[in-house]
Formats: sequence, structure tokens, C-alpha cells
Amino acid sequence: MFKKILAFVLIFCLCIAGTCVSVSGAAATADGTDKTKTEIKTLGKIEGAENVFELVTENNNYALYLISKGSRAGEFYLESKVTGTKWYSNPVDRDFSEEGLAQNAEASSQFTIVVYSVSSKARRSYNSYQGTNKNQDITFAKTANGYLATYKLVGGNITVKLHIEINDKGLVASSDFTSSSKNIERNILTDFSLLTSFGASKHGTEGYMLVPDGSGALVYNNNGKKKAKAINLQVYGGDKAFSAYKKSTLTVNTSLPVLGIKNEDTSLFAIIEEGASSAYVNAVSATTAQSYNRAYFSFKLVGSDTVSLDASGGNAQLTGSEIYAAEQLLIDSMKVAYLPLEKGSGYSEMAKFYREYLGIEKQTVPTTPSLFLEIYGGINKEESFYGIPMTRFKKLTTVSQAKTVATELKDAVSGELVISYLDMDSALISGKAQKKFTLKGSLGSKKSLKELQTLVNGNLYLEHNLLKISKNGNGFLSFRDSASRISGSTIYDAIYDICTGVKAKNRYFVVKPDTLAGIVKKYNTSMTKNGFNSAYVNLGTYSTSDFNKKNYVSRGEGIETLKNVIDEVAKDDLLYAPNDYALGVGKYLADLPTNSSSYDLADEDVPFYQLVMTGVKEYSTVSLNEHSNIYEKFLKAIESGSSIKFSVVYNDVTMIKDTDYEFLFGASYSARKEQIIEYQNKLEDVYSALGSRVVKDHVILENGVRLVTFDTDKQILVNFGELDANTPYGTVKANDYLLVERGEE
Amino acid sequence: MRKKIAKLIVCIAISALILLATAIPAFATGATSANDSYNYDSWGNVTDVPNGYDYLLSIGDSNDITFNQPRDMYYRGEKLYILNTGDSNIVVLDKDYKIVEKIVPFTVKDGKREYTTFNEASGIFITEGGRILVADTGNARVLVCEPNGEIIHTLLKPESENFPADLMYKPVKTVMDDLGNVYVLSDGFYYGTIVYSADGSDGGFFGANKIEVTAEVIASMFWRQFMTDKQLGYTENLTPVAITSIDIDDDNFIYTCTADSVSRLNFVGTNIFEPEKGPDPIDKSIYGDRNSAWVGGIQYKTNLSDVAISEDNFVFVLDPVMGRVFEYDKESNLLNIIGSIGNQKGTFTVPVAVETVGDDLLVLDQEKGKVTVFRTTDYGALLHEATILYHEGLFAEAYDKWEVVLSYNSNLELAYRGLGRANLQDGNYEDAMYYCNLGQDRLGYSKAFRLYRSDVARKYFAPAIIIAVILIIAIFVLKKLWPKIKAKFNIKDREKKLFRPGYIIFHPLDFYDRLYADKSRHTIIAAVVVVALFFIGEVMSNLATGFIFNKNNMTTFNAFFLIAKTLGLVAIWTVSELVVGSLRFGHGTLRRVFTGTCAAIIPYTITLYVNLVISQFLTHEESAIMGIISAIGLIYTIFLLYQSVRVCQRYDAGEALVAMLLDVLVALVIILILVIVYMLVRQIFMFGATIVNEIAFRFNQ
Repeated sequence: MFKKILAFVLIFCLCIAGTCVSVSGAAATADGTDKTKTEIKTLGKIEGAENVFELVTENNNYALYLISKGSRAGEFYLESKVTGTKWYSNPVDRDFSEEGLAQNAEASSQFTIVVYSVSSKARRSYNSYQGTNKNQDITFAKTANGYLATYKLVGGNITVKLHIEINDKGLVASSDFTSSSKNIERNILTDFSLLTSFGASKHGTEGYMLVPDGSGALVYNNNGKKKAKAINLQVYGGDKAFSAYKKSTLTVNTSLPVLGIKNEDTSLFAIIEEGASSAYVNAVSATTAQSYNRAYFSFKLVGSDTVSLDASGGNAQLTGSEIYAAEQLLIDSMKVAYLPLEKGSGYSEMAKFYREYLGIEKQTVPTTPSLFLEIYGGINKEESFYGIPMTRFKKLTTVSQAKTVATELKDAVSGELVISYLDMDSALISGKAQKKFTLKGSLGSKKSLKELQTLVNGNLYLEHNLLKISKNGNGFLSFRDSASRISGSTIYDAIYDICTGVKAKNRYFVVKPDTLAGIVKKYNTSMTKNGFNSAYVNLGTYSTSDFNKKNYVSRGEGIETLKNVIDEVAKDDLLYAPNDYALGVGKYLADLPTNSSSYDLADEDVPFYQLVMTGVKEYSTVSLNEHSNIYEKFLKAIESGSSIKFSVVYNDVTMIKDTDYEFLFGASYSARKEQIIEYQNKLEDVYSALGSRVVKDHVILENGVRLVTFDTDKQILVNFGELDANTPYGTVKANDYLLVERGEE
Repeated sequence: MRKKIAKLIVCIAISALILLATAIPAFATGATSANDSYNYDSWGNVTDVPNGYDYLLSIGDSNDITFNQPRDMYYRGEKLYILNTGDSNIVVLDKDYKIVEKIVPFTVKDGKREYTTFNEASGIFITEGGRILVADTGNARVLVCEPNGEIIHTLLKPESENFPADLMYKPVKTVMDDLGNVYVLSDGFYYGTIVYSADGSDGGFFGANKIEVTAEVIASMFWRQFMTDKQLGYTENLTPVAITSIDIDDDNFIYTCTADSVSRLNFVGTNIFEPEKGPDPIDKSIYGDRNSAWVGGIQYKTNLSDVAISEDNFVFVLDPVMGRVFEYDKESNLLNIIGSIGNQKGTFTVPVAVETVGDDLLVLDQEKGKVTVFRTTDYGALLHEATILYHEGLFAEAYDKWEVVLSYNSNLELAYRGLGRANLQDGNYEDAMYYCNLGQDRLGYSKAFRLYRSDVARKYFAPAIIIAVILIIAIFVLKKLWPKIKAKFNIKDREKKLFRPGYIIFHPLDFYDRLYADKSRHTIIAAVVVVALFFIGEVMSNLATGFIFNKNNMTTFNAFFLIAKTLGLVAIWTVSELVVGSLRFGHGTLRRVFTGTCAAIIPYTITLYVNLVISQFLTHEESAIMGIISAIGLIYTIFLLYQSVRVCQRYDAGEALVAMLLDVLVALVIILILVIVYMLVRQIFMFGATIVNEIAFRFNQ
């Protein structure tokens, strides 16, 4: 009897424990954070005078003022007690009459939303001014460090709660969308743009907006580009779950969820703390006296997909209809920190501030730059063998040839060699998941690979690629492990026709983040056992939603999963251009973008990404020989304190014809060898003369010439222009650089 | 024996399956490119290439200068003239793209200037003397202005009877030659450009395109004979392809472009801008993009709208649909493709005109209201240098340039062609063949191979003759001694089977007479082997024929098509012969008809292999030999088929001929039925797939 009671008690305990585990598991939010958030504690209603700013709260550094009543209700400003600078949520130089406010409703709003009507299948945009009946349907409650504003929009159908608070560094705006989504039935809140006019400056104000497009770009205030579209960058690039049938033009990834505003001598830097996985960075330049220079974040809350049940695909999805996944929020909440910087701060200071914010510390980076090499092992190629068509493995560079390359270059340059050996793993070449390291036999032996590793002082990194899985096997089953679109179909990483931009074929499976995490961990174990390091070509950027009906995983959750894996496995490895969450990991970074996507509205490319990472670890440009103007890319390297990288193939490079590797058109080692040595030696000379490669400051002079100051206080001028440029620091030739002699300023 | 046959059939089946399996394209590993420039190879496939041009700057999207609905531009005398249609003026920039002046055309009346207003003006041209011609489309006139803008002539609708009275005169482009003749392109006018002589009188038309006589055109002309006027109204008119833009070079050659072609017209209107004619896999006279796409019910397909010629005679054409500029050399080789539709620098929204300023390429965007300037990259400049030297026949001088170009772009066939021709000129025939092969230059390869073959033949002629003589003597001796050898070693003659190629070819009448009564298994097996060899021969012809004659691409190899062409054809012929035979009281059985048909295809199959072998040794000029061999094989096969029908069905000569014609007819009907069945099955499959999609979708929801 006792045993039975004991068994019953044990089973009961186990059941309770199981329930607890499942509850805590379900509590994970779309953004990977804990769902059991503490409710914002309110401390009573705020009811002030009509259209008058009144103090809400203050600390040692800042004070927050709010208009809580009237047609301007919801407007606030942040005042710095140190500098006296005021940052207004809405422009204060606009017409405050009823007509004026109505005419410029967006400038009178704190946010805009897009609502999808299920019945009419139409999307409609509302700003908070119009949507709340001219700011009448807003209530304010005081919180510990700020206030909570509750907006009733669309006739009360949609509720948006916006929490504004201050801390020692600045202001934080946040919103929880789970409550917004609960009170909807026929209207789906799909998009949310936050504080669209915060820090906005009127037409004529000097300054710029920093957007994190690729390396980073500046949009000058009042740049006169009347017909250029506003900038709208998706943070971390497109979600593969929403990949379209037709691809837009080539863009560079937006890796950092930040933006910067500089008006005259005041600067504001904004960082997304929550919700970056579904965020966009927007910038608009003022073109008329009535418009404003604005930069802000927006968020996509609910995803949609085009479903075409017609299997014939007639005229490419002419008959498709759009469906929304209203129950599967892309993010549950968002949180943005707006951080005023010291007067006169530019994008260099913003980068420094961001580095400190991320908590990544500077280390000793050698002045002599390493030479990054990307060596390609081999490819499968379809060809005719005495009239019989077959797929054959083609050796591009064997291990032994890679050793020859390393030996020759090592003798010719001073810097270390950092080698990424790509397409050398059997699973990788055959299109299977890389769970265990197996060197393709015909390329060489592990012993030989070890010798290569020793030759380059351990700086040999073997490719691990998450986006080259095209076959089942190695524990991967496509029907089980592939991520799903909203429509339920499998997500593929497709190949697009360069000419037409339309999807040519579904190429690789996009694997669920959980499965990927397992694959990466097992591979890492195998690599550790074999004594090799990995070159993670897309681990730092891989992100997708998985709309599996039984187990929805948001993009944010997927990123969180992989982030943990990155932290665990990639400490001593090489990462390719990672997103912000992986910046602190890895020994080397490769392929950091040296340019932006060059949107029409943007005016200048700046190496903001590199300025964040300067002095933290060594990073390289993308392969110089992928470009037509190598010297220009070389100048980009100098400008950003980068090392340079080349892609090479030792054997006859014509083998790449009619394969997916045609992009290696300039990778012939024999043709490039002298050039590699020449550029590397030149770069070594430049950094040697500068005494450092850690960038302290980066400034664009009036004529577009860049003045880069290194932490030795030595400077260099870089001129990307087509004409020689005279500067106070010297005359720099067109498309060239000039070391600034001391005392020349 | 049955087991052996079964094994043989299994072996053949497995072989066929292996061939099929290997024919299915395998996935290669891949990675994404950092570059989005492309070009087309000789197969019409898109290949990755580096940028030949990079974005340099934009004019018109700053606070300094803006345009309002700009429609055209022209560069002359170190000045760039932009037709700023929305503001009815012409903005003039210097060669550094700095604004110089704005010209508003005017007339002088009573000593006062009266400024004119444009109405959708869309063409501008500047003469050597600086006069400005404006095609003022909406006002149906061409204005001829002095450099200061004073209008001195207005060219109106021609009074010629050849200009359709009901057609609106809408001048869209205009140019003037050194003699003062003005060429005007009118929208909707299909008979070329309208020519006005120097005195302003209209003097006829120039450069009309011809209607290409294609099968489609012939069919259309045929059916139009039976159509009512109303039906004719719904059909497309058979008119020449409309010219979309014109330009003129320093030598007074007129360049025109249509939706997918470019022409350089000499003084009699003949196109001299044509690719080198050779045994190429694709039609090289198609310009612009070869790929097109349907997106959301809209087709995106090349539609060239403007043409420009650079100082170095490179030809640029603009495709506003895809937002591309295509650059061709004087032999119409595609060098670079620049631009796209988008909202990034170097992309366009509504590109309307293309122009060159030195090495810069300019594209005018009406919607964005700006001119985008591209400048050649290091690669682009090298490519130009090498191309110019190549066209001047300075192959050796171009050699080094091509090598550097290749270090930038190993995918560039033109560079291999250049190296091939240079080696050919230098007498390095083997190298020339190697590079011509890489460059898909079959003509160059053929020339090099002819010379290489002569060298080899000269070198090995004497030993080859000696070996041949020895072999002939040996055969002669062996033949003489063969009876003795047989007797000595007790070698018995093997029983001669009926189904022997030599016997079939040289004694066809005897063979078919004996085949009628034949019942041996060997015949069936041999027939199956012949069909298999026929299939393999076709596969090998497709993939292993000598380079000069092989226009098939591995990447598009389709084994299914070849199965249909070989096995399917034999099967259809057999069935149709049986059907016709049964209707016309023939005596053919499945066995007789099948084996008879298989025997008949032996000559053709043999010629496949013969051509396969000799294609490795012939040059382009000798291609007729292969054609003759093929023709002999085909004719003999038809003859044997005739014999097969006659003997197997026990017809007389005339009946056999009629039966053969009926066989052909029935075979066509069978093919038609198969196509219909295929389409029906496909429809059913699509219907089923749609239902499955729907169920899966509902289930997922």
C-alpha cells in the first residue's frame, strides 16, 4: 500500500513538474524573451493643462515633459540637463491651428499604424492624430520613470499602448502588441511606425541621418532629392519565409538595428532593444519648407503570404490571394532607446557609443594586417563524359595546392594569412547537412590539411554553410526539418534569374532554427575533435520565421536560438559579416561590407559598421577580386581600417562555367597572385606608416574627401572622387590616398 | 536462351535508365554572388560577369539643378543638351556636367521674341554647327533652331502620298546628316524614317524594315485570305517592325533600333551591323535580353527604345522594360549590360534616353527626372581597349589585353575568341583551337583545325601510307591463307544468322523475303539491340559530335526528347504499320513489322556513328560530307522501310507505296493523339495538384 501511495505521489509530482515545464516553454515570446513580463505599474492618471508641456519625471541627466490634453496630446520632449538640448517628439515650428495640425497630421502623431480589414481585404494607414480623433482618445498614466499612453484608434477597435520612460542614458519607448492584437476580430494591426517625428528637423537645418545600410550611409538633411523614395531598410535583411517570386535589385544587408540623427551640433542615436527581428529603418529628407528631415523605426507585426492554389502557376501567380497570419505575431513587443549624444558628435562618436552599448571591448589588433584568403576546394559539375551526361567532381584547389598558395604568399607578405577553405567538405559538396567534418577525399588528406593549418599558424577555417542543404541525409529530413511559410509550403533559398529577377528554381532547404542549432553543435564537436576551426559563412546572419502550425517559431526566437549557439561554438572561429547579436563572437570577421545599397536618397557611404568594430577584432573587406575597380575597394579598406580579402582557385578557373560558381570569374590564382601580393604589401605599408589600424575618427570633408584619424593620431586622406582634391591637409589625387604629414593642417 | 534474352533486355533497360538518370541535372553546390552584372554566353545562358560600368553621379536630383519630365538628350561639341520637356526648354551642361545655360526656342515677331511651348517633345538632335532639332511630338512638328534657340524651320507632316492620310504625324526622334538631310521618326509609321531634304521639302522614306517571311507569317497570310473584314480587324497587321529610335554616327551611318534589333544602315538602307555568320548554337541577331518573365500577369520582355553610338563606335541600346542598357561592339558582340529598374543609384524608373560622353554612359530617367552617369570600370576600360585592337585586326597587340581581361572575367567568351584568333594568326593552331573552343568560336576553331590537321597530315603522311600498305598486304595475305589456316586449326564456319547488318544492307530483298518466315529469337534480340544502338547513337550525336558541328548544350540535354525521337518513333511506326496493315489486308505481324522496321533503321544508325567519328576530323567547310552521309543513310532507311512494308505485308510495289503514305499519316495521327492525351493528363494532374494544394492549405489553416 505504501508503495502504491509513494508511486502515486511521485507520478503526481512528475505531472506537476511537466506542466510547469510546458507552461514555461509556451511562455517564450515571438522575440525570444520571457513572456511573463511584469505589467507596467501605473501610478495614477496624468491630466494637465491643454496643449501645455508639463514635467512628468526627471533624473540627474534628463527631464521628460508631456502634453496630456488637447489637440497636441501625446507630444513630449526630452531635455538634457547637461547640455540643455531639447528633443521633441514632434516639430515645434509647425502650425498649431486646428487646420494646421490636420494638414500636417503625421507631424502631429506619435506613431502610424497599418490595419488590414479582413472583410474588405484592404490595407489602410492611420496616424495617431487622425486615428484618435485628433488626439482626443488618448489617456495617460504615470509610471515609475515616465508615462503610459493608451491610444484608442479606429473607433476604439485598436488599442495601442505606448510606454515612454527615461533613464540615465536617455529615453526609452516601448509597446506590447499582444494586447493590441487581442481586441481585434475584423481588423488586423499589421505595421507600426514609432515616433516618426522624434528628432525631426525643419527644412534648412544642417545635418544628416545615419542609416545602417551595409557599411552605413548618410542621408543629408534637405538634400534636394525630391523624387527619391524614402529609405526603408529591413533590419537583418529579408525573412526567407516571405521571399517573393520576383526579387528586387541587389542590396547589402542591414546588420545593425540602429539609426542616428545629427541636427546642427546636436546628435541622437537610437537602438532597437526589442523587436529588431521585424524592424525597419526609415529616413526621409525634407524637400519643401513644410516637410521635415526624419528618421525612425517601423515594425511589421503580422506577416502575409500570397497563396496560389492553381498548380499550373499560370502567368506567374496572377490568381494568387493574400493571407495574413494574424495569430502568429512576428514580434510581441518592441523597445527602442533614444540616446542623446554629446554636442558635436558625428557618426564616429555614434559608432563608439554603440560599441560601448554592446559591451564589446577593444583588444589589441596587430598593426600589420592579415591577408584574408578564400580558397575554393571543388564543385560538382554536370558534363558529358564520352557522350554520357554525368555529374563529376571538379577539383578547384586541392589541399596540397592550397599549401602552395599559402607558402608562396607567406613568403611575399609580412602579415598573417587567414584562410577560409570553402567547398572542401563531402557533405557540403553533395548538398547534405554538415553534421560531421569529412574532407572530400580527392582534395587531400586530413594530415595534409593539418600541415596547412600549421603553415598558417592555425588560421585555417573550414567552411560551414547553413544554406547549402539540398538533399536529405545526415539526420536532416526535409519534410520534418524544413521551415514553413504562412501558406504551409516549404521555404527554400531560391536561385533567381539575374536577368529577370524572378525565381528560377528552389535550390536549398531553409532549415528550422532548432534543427540547425543541433547540426551546428554536432559539427562543432566533430571539428573540435579533429582540431580544426570553422568559417561560418552564414551563421551570423541566418534568420527565418517558421510558420509551422504546430510549433510557430518567430524570426526573433530563431535568432535567439542561433545566438546561443554562436556564443557556444564560434568563440575561436571566423564569422562572415554577422548581425549585431554576434558581433562580440569569433576571432576574425570577414566580408564586412564597405558600401551601402546606394539608395537614391542616400548621399554618402560611411564605414559605420567598421567604426563599431575597429580595434575589437580583425575584419576584412569582401573579396577584392570580385570587383571591377579593385583599387577603389582597396581605398575602402584603408578608409575603414580593414584587412583585404581575395578569393582564389588554383586550377583552371574555366571549370566554373555552367555551374553556380560563375561568380568566381576573377579568382584565378595564377592571374591574381602578383596583384594579391602588391595590394597586401601596399596595405601593410600604409598601416605601418600610420602606426595603427584602429580608426579613431572618420570625417567627410566638404569636397567629399575622407579624413581618417587613427588612434596614433596619424591621419590619412582618401579621395574616391574623379578629380584631384585640395584640402587643408594636403592635395590628394583623384581615386587615391594621402598620408597627412604632421603639422600640415 | 529465353533467360539470355531476358538478361539482355534487362541490361538494355538498365543502361537506358542509367543514361536517363545521368541526364537529369544534378544539384551542384552553390553560393551567392556579390555582383549582379550578367551577360549571355553562346548558348543564350546568363553568366555572371564583373561590372563594365559603375555608377558615377546623378544630374538633376540636387538643390542645384532639377528637370521636369526630361525626354531626350544629345551630346555634341563638349556640351550635353537635355530636352527638358516639362519646362519647354533645353538645359545645356558642359562636359563636367555643370550647367551652362537654358535655351528656350523662340520665334522673332516684330522684333520681339515669342517663346514656344513644347507638347510632349521627345527627341533632340544637335548638328555639327550647333543647330538644335527638336521633335515636338504633341505639336506634330520638328523645330530647327539656331544655337541660341531661334526657330528657323518647322518641319510638318509630309505631303507625300505614301504617308497615310489617316495617320497622325507624331515625330519622336530626329537626326540630320552632313548634307543637311533631316531624318524624322514618326510614332506609328512603319515605313522607316521620313527624310526631309536640306531645303525642308520631304523627300521620301529611308530604312524601313522588311517583313520577315517566317512560317508564322506565311500561315498568317494564308488564313487572312479567308477572314472577314471584322476578323481582320482583330488580327495583327502584317507590317514591317516599327523603328523605335534613330541615331547617326560621324560617318553618316544611320543607326536604328526596333523592339529587339539594332541596325546600322548604309546609304542604300542595307543593314551592315550584323554578327559574324557561323555555325552558332543560337540566333545572334537578337538584341537585348534573351530571357523574359511573367510576373502577376505582366510579361517583362525586352523592348528596345533608344540607341546611341560612342566615339569608339560602341553601340548602346536602351530597354526601358527591364531598365537595361546593352553595349555592343561593331561586330554586335554584347559587351556589357548596365542598370536595372529600382530606387538605387544606377537604377531607373522610366528610362527614356541613352547617350555617351567620352567613356561615360548616360541614361535619362523621365520619372526620376535625372541623368545617371556611369563610368567604365578598370575591367570595362580594358575590355574596350582589347575590343578596339581586335577589330583593327591587331590580334597580337590585343593578346595581352585579353589576358588581363580574363583575369577579371574568366566567363568572357569574347576574350577567349580574341586569344584564339591571335594564336591562329601566330600559327599556334593547337592553342588557337583551345581558346576558340572556350570562346565557342566554331569558325575560328574550324580555321585553326584545318591548318592543324594539315600540319599533322604532313608530318605523319609517310608513316601512315607505309602502315596502310602493310595492312593491305597483310589482309591480302591473310585472305589467301585463310582456307589453309582454317583447315590446319579445324576452324568451322559459324552458322550465319539472318539479322546481320551487312546482309541487310547489301541484300535487302533477300533479307526481307527470309524475314517473313523467320522465327528465330536471335532476330528479335538483334532488333532490340539495333533500337538501343539507335538511341545511344542519338545521345552520342548530341553530346559527342565534334565541336565545330555540335550545337547542343550539356546543361539543356533532354534524354526524354531523345527517347521519343528514337524508341518512340520506332514504336509509333510499328503500330501505325500494323494498323494500316490490318485495314488493308496485310500479312504483317507484330514480330515481322517490328524486326523489319528495326532492320530498316540500321543504315541511318550506322551513319550516326560514322558522322560521330568523322565530325572529329572535318572542318566547317567540309560539313557537306556529313550531310551527304546522313542523307544516304536516311534515304536507304526509307528504302528499307518500303521493302519492309512491301514484304511483311505482302503488298505489290504500288500498294506498298500507298501503305507507306498511310503509315505516315497514321503515325502523325498517333502523335497528335499522344499530344492531346499528354495535355489532358497534364490538365488532370494540374487539377489534382490544385485540389491537393487546396486540401493542404485548408488543413494547414
